[in-house]
Order: sequence, then structure tokens, then C-alpha cells
Amino acid sequence: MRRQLRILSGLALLLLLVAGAGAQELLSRPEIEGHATPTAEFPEPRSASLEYTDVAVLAVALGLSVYLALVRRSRRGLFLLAIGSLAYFGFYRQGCVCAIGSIQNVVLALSDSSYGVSLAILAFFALPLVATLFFGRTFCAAVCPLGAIQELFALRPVRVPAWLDQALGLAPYVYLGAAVVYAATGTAFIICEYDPFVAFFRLSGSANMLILGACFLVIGLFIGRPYCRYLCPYGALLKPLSRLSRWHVRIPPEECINCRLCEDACPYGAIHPPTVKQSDADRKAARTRLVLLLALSPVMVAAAGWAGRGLGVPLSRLHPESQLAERVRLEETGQVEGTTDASDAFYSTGRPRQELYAAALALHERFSVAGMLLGGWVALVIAVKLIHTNLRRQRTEYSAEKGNCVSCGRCFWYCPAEQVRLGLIENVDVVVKRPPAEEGKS
Amino acid sequence: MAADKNRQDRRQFLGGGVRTVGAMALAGFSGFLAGQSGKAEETIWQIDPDVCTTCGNCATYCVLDESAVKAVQCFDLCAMCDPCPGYFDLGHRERTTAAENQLCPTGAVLRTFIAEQAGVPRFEYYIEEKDCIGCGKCVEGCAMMNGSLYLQVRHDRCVNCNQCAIAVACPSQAFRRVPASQPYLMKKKALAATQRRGSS
Amino acid sequence: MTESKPPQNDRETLHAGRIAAWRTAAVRSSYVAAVFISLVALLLLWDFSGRLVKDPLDSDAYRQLRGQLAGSQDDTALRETIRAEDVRLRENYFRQRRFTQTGGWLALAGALVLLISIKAAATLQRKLPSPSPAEPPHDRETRRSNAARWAVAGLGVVLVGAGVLLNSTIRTELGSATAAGSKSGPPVAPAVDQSAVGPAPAAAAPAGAPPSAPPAAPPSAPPTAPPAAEEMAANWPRFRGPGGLGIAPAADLPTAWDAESGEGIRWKTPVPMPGNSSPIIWGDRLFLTGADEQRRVVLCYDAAEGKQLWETEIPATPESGGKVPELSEDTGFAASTPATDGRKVYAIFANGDLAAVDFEGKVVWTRGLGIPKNAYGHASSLAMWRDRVIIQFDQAAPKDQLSKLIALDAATGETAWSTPRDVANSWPSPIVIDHEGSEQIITCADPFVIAYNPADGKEIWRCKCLRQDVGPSPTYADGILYVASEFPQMTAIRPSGTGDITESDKYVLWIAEDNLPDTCSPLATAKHVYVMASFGYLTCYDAKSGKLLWEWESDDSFTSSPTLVGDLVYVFGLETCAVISPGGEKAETVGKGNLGEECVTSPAVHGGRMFIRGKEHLFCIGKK
Repeated sequence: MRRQLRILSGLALLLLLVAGAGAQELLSRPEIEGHATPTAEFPEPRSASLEYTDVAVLAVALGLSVYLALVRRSRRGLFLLAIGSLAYFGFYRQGCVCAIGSIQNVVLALSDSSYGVSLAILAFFALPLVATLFFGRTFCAAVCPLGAIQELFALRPVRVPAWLDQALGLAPYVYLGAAVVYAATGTAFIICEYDPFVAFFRLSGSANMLILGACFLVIGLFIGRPYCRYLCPYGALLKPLSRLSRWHVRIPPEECINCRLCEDACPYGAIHPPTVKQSDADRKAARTRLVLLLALSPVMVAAAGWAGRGLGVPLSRLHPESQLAERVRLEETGQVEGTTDASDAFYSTGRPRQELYAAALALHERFSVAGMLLGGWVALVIAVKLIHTNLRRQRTEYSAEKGNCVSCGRCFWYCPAEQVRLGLIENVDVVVKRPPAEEGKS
Repeated sequence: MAADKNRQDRRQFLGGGVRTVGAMALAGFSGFLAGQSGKAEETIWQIDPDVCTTCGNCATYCVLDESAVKAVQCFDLCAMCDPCPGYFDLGHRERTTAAENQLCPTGAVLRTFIAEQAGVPRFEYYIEEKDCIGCGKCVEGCAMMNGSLYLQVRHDRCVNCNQCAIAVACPSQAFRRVPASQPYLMKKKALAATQRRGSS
Repeated sequence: MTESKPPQNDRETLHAGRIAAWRTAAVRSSYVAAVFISLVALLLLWDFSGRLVKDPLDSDAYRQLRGQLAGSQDDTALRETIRAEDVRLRENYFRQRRFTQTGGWLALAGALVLLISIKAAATLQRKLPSPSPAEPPHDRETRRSNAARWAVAGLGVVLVGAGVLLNSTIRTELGSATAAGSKSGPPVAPAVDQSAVGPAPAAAAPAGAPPSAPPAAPPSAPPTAPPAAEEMAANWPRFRGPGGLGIAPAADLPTAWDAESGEGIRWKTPVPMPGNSSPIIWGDRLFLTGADEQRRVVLCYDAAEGKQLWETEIPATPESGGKVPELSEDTGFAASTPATDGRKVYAIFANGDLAAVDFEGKVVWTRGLGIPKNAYGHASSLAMWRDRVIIQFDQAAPKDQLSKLIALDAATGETAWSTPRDVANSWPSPIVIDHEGSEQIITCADPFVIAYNPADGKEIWRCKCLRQDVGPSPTYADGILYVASEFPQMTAIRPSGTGDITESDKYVLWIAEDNLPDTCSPLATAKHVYVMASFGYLTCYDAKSGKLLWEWESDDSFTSSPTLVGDLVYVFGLETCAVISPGGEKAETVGKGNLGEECVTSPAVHGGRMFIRGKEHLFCIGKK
């Protein structure tokens, strides 16, 4: 018993008796001369016009970011912009109006016509996508507060092995699928619930989330942008769009001289060396695998969808209604002792159990369908990735892989051609020419 | 060389096409949603006081250290009781402001003597908002009488998380999104009492 | 490589020196900031652990003090202690809150300084890499994509594993609630009770079909929720079995038996109390009622061995007040067959007393309806609908306005609804049918057949086609209802109408007037209707046209209703029994039986055996 009600005085007993009567009839408020009934104050929420300020700030920041990354090619500018975005969207707006979370608002609005998504949130969802379609992930570079905080913490990045990077890179798609499922069913906005950095932006939060956030930051010291690369569901949307982008940052301002100086410059593993001709045997093997995978992928998707149906019950368990129904059922069948706040609240509504069970069973059905789609989606993502590993693109120079590059501009400094452009050195030979001693050794 | 050039041209043309289609699709999608939502307002979180069970989660689960949820007094509904079960602990001995008699853990309910009517002293009960932690103990007590005290999300404090942490923890699903233009909810009987007084 | 170049002039040396100084400053300030942050973080952590509880007075010591005060009389010192402790706790609480806030900002500021200084140090120290000499180009990408493929496949395996794990660890407890939901929930969903139509397809099944399935639930630990329709159909829960239709799925029963020689009789056990009620069966338990002028009992037998498991006496209710109803000796004090939902057994006796007894023999509730004014004694058996017990409680003459149809909550015995009936006293048992999705309780009495909605007891339709003392219960097959009585006729009714359908050709399909029964209820399949007249004629009518197809004759007199098992009709006369194979043209007697005592009850069929109550014994007929 959380609250011990100690009925000690007769007065208290009387009170309870009055309470019994009070359930039906209200005690009237006495009229007292010369005493006006006070009114409670209700502070207004943040004005709606400020919402559009946010959109304006977003648009300006996006524009600046594009300008700084593509035109000015200024790493320092991007860095300062990132700090600015972190200050505004992070610490001032406390992390809540954000493109990543807006996915869920949009999905819920699509699935539930009674839920309206405000234009500001829609803008937060769409603007970065459009910008990315043309200019690459400049949003990630310096506008997203989550990206910014990780960018600041990427101090001693080590290279993640390519195979691990590729596999972990699929996690955002799985997360995205799950987030869409839970948003569409109106269950919860899991992206926001498990946002690791928002507790820092607010300087308060549950201990668990603070610890999780601190873990991400500490990992982020050594593995650049762990959330962006291996979890961010919005990044999962941006990645393919960025691959299509028309104007994307280039490492050298003009021609690449293949000096290899930028080879290890990217903390996010996005710089790929020029390709080498594949051996005939390898090419043949790749082609065979490709054909096989193309034929197999529909089967994979169908099988995973079929298997996903079975996830109806576990998936639905996040839904409060389903949780409540299970609890009430356990209490009804005597498998658990006592009640919870939730089951007490349920009993006090007088709603029939069977109705709750029926609702929960309907949820199971709904989530079975969701599980099927989710299973199919995950299989599709894996299939596409597998197919992708068998495709090759010719690269003649060191270049940023458009999907993974976040346009942070760290690599610019390493490029001798860039240094020439900035007037720091006269020509590239100053840095690229090998010292004769070394030549002598070999 | 010419073949390479050709291939590059083709690629650029293709890329341009895909981009145009993508941009148009995105624009169309956004337009569709915007149209569908109509003039959908920003939504904010609020507690439906008729559903609230005063479990105390509001005080503990808010992401803010000092919860955005606080008790609110609907003066129109308050019967100015003495003793007030929202103010006094059920085991109180005397009707004084002494700590051992009070229910509120932070002393955030203020009891002000107004007048004596036919030998019955009448008090007004105010919520001292800066001290209130939203635990709902007074609300639970007051429910024994008229139930004029209730919990509300105070929007000068609420940071309006996209997913409210208290809403997740709420056992009775009393948290819901309301349009920002009508940021507060009232108990049905409180609304009736307010309207009655307004009309008289 | 830039570093390896010798400085070209003084300006450059100076510049390099300044950079080095800045770098040192940056490194040092980053150290200071790091130490500062760690300190603040430690303090915050230490403070935080002390304030996981957000209610300042949520302290054991304080609660104890308050508890002490409650137990003592005006202890001034204690009060002072409480007040002091209260102030201390509150001050502490608000102090801590301020501390967290300030600490948060301090930590943030520290972090900012740390980041800036580290960044500065890193930038100032930054060197271009000196890549190792170019190796001859080789295809690293193929190897990488091979590894990536395996990694992606591994991820797929991990995901599948996670799914399997989720599926196996998170299970629902609602599976069993489903059936309950469809049976006893509020009537939101369309009717799903199939107890009345369930067995009909089984009856039409070809001979040699496997015997009826064993009971779904072991009755030793009865669940609380009402059973599903299939579970009802798999047992013999009421008079004339599932739906009250007298139809059992094909079973390998003997066609001849003799209680004296023991041939075809599995067991035979004496019944300690008289009664004309028939046995009912749930799982491995068989229930009977018995009563005389003073005592009323419910009996439970082990269906496998015939051992009596318990006998429970039903106490008299205040309504019956221990009075003995006036009745005919032929009817007796326990003529009504009990009913069960697999959780409890419900029984009604001639004095209007009802009881619910659980499977262990404990009386759960009793209910008195008052001594019925019934010329021969109350004999109508109980029906069940979902979690309700249905009682056709007809008394006296219509003008007395005493007749009722009553539904009781099976759990408590409270009245769910009660509908007055303008009919005379009667003896048929009600049945619940599911006709084209509409559930109806069918009742027969002088002068009306009336259908009621089982949810609320509202009348649906009525048909005036019965007269005088009505004994046979209605039956239903393939969308047609058959009601018969000695006077004036047998009537086939399509129960789709509303209001009074007596004059409607659309609903009254045909009537027949030959060899009508006065006690035995008709037996119907999709094709044929069989009626057993008390003077020993079994008559077969065509179900669709009402044409008389054949008659079968016996010298005996009959009150037991015929039962169809597979495609054989079993009839029990007062002294003889017969197994009849009904054909299209004429019937053929395929077997005869002898119980060695008089029999007026109807059999129960379950688990490949037939159970019948004689005047003194309970018999189990079966091959194994």
C-alpha cells in the first residue's frame, strides 16, 4: 500500500461518510460577502508563431550549411554552424522539434486521420530530405543537433572494419521499420522515447537515459557519430537520397591527384579509394551471385513476412492496452497476486474485461499484420544490401561515398589541391613530392 | 573516350530524372499531408482530470527535474471545507498548519481564512505553484469531497516532448494530445460548476 | 612532411613557436576542464543517488515518526521532532534541486571548455599523414564485399534469432480468454453459439465416422469462464445432449444388450434416490438428480467405472419453505434433467428450488422460485445460454399470469432477466437455437410456441399451434423447427419471422396429424423427422414436405425420447429397448435390449458409450 490511510479521529470517519454522499451530490460553495471567488491562472503554451521561427531557423541553417560545405568549403564555418545549431535546436529548443522524430508524426498522421501534423513538423520532415536530394547530407553536417553533439565528440576516431560497418549500417533501417510500426499503430514514438542525447539538452532526464547518452558520447570519442551511422532512422532516409544528390561535396576542389593523403581523413569511413579492375573470375562469381540473389530475394521477403506474422503478440506488448489486458488476465486467473496502478484504474472504469480482451486480441491481429510488413521490410533491406555488395562502380579518384558522407568537411584540409586553392601552398608538389631519403630506402 | 562520355551523359540524365521525380514526390507527399491535416494545430500534452487516478507518476516520470505537472484549484467547485481532506492528513489531530497535520509533502497548499459563516469557518485553499511537485496527494484527498483540485500539465514548464514520458507511464491513459489553442482540460463537474457560477 | 622541412626564416620560426605555446595552453586547459567536469559529475552523481525519490517526505524515519504520533496521545516533544524533521527534509529537497540545476549548467560549461580546448589542441597539432609508398594496386574491394556479405548475413541471423527469442519469451495469456470472450461477453458480436446447430452435421455424417472426441477439458479443475460451443458439443451437457436435440455423433455402440446376462452392459450401479431426470455428462463425470418429498440430491458418478463420487443434498430455500408440492406420482420430485457448463451443475426440483453445485459437490448457490402450480409437477429441464441458466417456469392457467421464462446468472444465481408468459402449465424443455445468426430460446406450451431473444428475454415470434397438456420439447434441424403435441398437430416452422406467425404460410411450413407424441420429443435430421407416440409407434415424416414415410411398431409404451447415434435410432420403452435403422421406405429393427427394469428417461451418449437411467439403476451400455 503506497498510501496508508489512517482513519484515527471520528472526524475523519465523518469525512468519509460525507464523501459517500458526495459521490453523487456536490457540496455547494458558500457565498461569502466581500470575497470574490479567485480564478486559477493558466499559463499559455509557447506561441504558435515561434513554431515558424523554428522552421525559418532550420531553412536558414540548411542554406548556410549547403553554402559552407559546397561553395565556401569551410570546415571551420560548418563547425561553428554545428555549435550554433546545437545551441538553438539542442539547448534552447531542448531537442524537441526535430527531423528525426518528425518521421513518427508524419506516419501517425498518415495512419490516423484524426491526428493532424502541423505544418512546422511537416517542414522539419521534408526540408532536409529535399535539401539532401540536391546537396547531400548537409543537414547532418551542421544542422541536426544530434549530429552536432556527436561531431564535437568525434575526437579520436578509429576506423570501423568495412564489413562491420556495412552490417551495422543496416540497423537504422530496422529501427526505422520498428518506429514506423509503433507510430502507425499509435502505440508510442520510440525514436523520441529512446533519444540518447535529449536528456543532455534539457540538463535533466531519467538516470537511464542520461547513462545511455553518456555511453553514446564516450563511444563517440572513438567511433565517429555512432548514433548517426548505426541507429538514426532519419539517416536511413537520407542515405539513399544523398546517393542521388546532384551537387555533393568533393574532397578536392577540382582534380584529384590521387595523393592518398585523405585516405584516413574521414572519421566516418566514407572515403573510398579508386577502384581496381576486378579479376574475371571474381566478376563472374559476382554475376552468378547477383542472379541468384535477385531470384532469391522475393522468396526471402515472402518468408520473412510470413515469419513476421508470428511477432504479433510480442510486438503488441508495447501497447498499453495489450499490457493492461495481459495483466488483468493474469490477475483474473490468479497467476499473479495483487493489482497494479493500471489494473486498478481499469477496474474503476467499470469497463468489462471481455471488452478489454477483445481489444487486446484485435491489437494482436493488427500487430501481426505490422509484424508481417516489418519482417518483409527487414528482409528487403538485407536483400538489397546483399545485391548491392555484388555491384561495382568505377572510381578513378579518392571520393566520398555519397550515402555515408555527412559533408562535415573534415577531409578538405588534407587535400593539397584544397591548400593550393586557399593559397596556403603554391602547388601540390610541395606536399606530395616524396622526400629523396625515403626513395633511397626502397 | 566517347563511350565514356556517353555513359556519363546518360547517367547524369538519369540522375536528374530521378531527382526531379523524387523532389516532386516529396513535395506531393507533403502537400497531401498538409492538405489532409488541414489547419492541424500543434498539439500539446494534457491530463484528462476525469480519467486521472492520482497515482503519483507525474511527479516521478517527467523528464524535468521539477515536474511540469502541478495541482490546480478550481475555486468554483471548491466548497471551502473545514477540514479539507486535500489539505489535512487523515490522521490529523488539530486543524493547524503544523507539519504533522499537513498532507502536502512540500507544504504547497496554502490555507487562508476568509470568514466565519454561521459559526463555520471558511477557508480558501491555494496552490503555491513553485513548491508543488505534482504528486497528486491533495488531489486524491480532495476527491473525497468535491474534487476541486486536479492535476494539469503547466505549459510554461512543459517542454512538450514529442513522446511524453509521463504519458508512457500513466496507468489510466489520462494523458492525451490536445490542440495548442485549448491547452487545459477541466473535470466535467468543474466545467458545470464554472458555467453555473458564470451564469448566475 | 611539412614538419620535416627546415624553417625557412625567422618569421616562420616565430610562428611555429607561437603555435606550440597555444597548443600547450589548450592541452592544459583541457586537463583542467576534464578534472572540473569529473568533479561536478561525481558530485551530481552522489547527490542524485540521494534523491531518486521525488517526494521530500518519503523517508522511513519521518514516516516512523508520524506513525508514532498516531499511536500516542499528545506528545509535544514528538511533534516538535516531526516539525524539525519536516523542515530539514524539505530544505534538503529544495537545496538538492537547486544543486542539480546549478551542477548541470556547470558541467555543461565545463564540457564546452573541454571540447574547445581539446579541439584547439588537436587542430594546432594536426599533421598531414605520410602515406606509405603505394602498393601495386590490388583488388581489395572484392575481399571487402565478401566479408560484408557474411556480416550482413550474420546480422540477418541475429535478427531472426531475436525474433524467435521474442516470440518464445513474450506470450499471451489471452488465448483462453478468446473462447470466453465470444461466449460470455456482452452481446456486441453477432451470435456465435452453435450449441444448437453443432451436432446436426455430425448426425448427417456417414456411418463409421470416429466416435465423439473426448472432452476438451479435464473437468477435475474446471475453469471459471463458460465453455466454448465446441466444448459443449463434445459433452452431453443437458437433457437430450448438446442443443437438446437428441443427436450424438456415430459411436460404436452395441445393438443388443441384456442387463440380466450383462451382455453389452459395461456397468450398472444402483441410484439411491428416485427421479425421472436423465443423466448428463461432462468429461469423465456423470450427473443425476434425485428427490423424494423431503430430500433433494445431486449425484455425481465416474462415467468410466460407474462409481458414485459424491452425493450433495440441496438445502430447502426459504421460498419453498420445506413444503411438499402436490404432484403426480408419475412425474416425481426430480423430473427435470440438470444442466452443466463444465464448471458447475445446475439442477431444479419439483418444489421450484434451484441449486448450482461445483464439480467437487459443493453447493455454490441456491435459489427458490416458489412452489410451482403445476398439475402433474414441474418437469421442464434446464437449458444453458452462455453464462446463463434458462428456466421455463410455466404454471397454472394463462389467466393466472404465473408462467415465466427466467434467465439466471450462472455464477451467482441472480436473475438476469425474467419474461412473463401468457401460457398454461407445461412440461417441455426449452432449447436454444442459432437460426441464421439469430439466437433464439424456443419454448412450447399451451397454446403457443414462443421464441425469445436469449440476451434480454424479449419475444421474437410466436405461433399458436399447441393445445392442452404439452409434453414434448421442440427440436430443430437444418433451419426448421419441429414442435409436436398429442393435440392438435405436429408443426414445422421456419423460425425467421417476427410477431404472430400462426397464419403465415411463409413460416408455418407443414403440419402433420398422425401418431402424435404426448411425452416423447421429436427427433429431426435434415431429411427426416421421427416422432415416438406413447403407444409405441415411431413415425417418420419427410422433413421438407411433412409426408408420412413409414411407421415402426412396438407393443410397449413410451415416455423416453428417441436418440439418434450416427445413423441408428435408439428407443427405450417402458420395458423394452430397440435399435432401429431408419430407411427411406421402412425402418428395420437391428437390435433389441433389455434393462430388466422400467425406464422412462432419455439416454446420454458420450465417449462411445450410452448411459441410461432405469427405475433403480444407472446403466452404461457399450462395447468397451
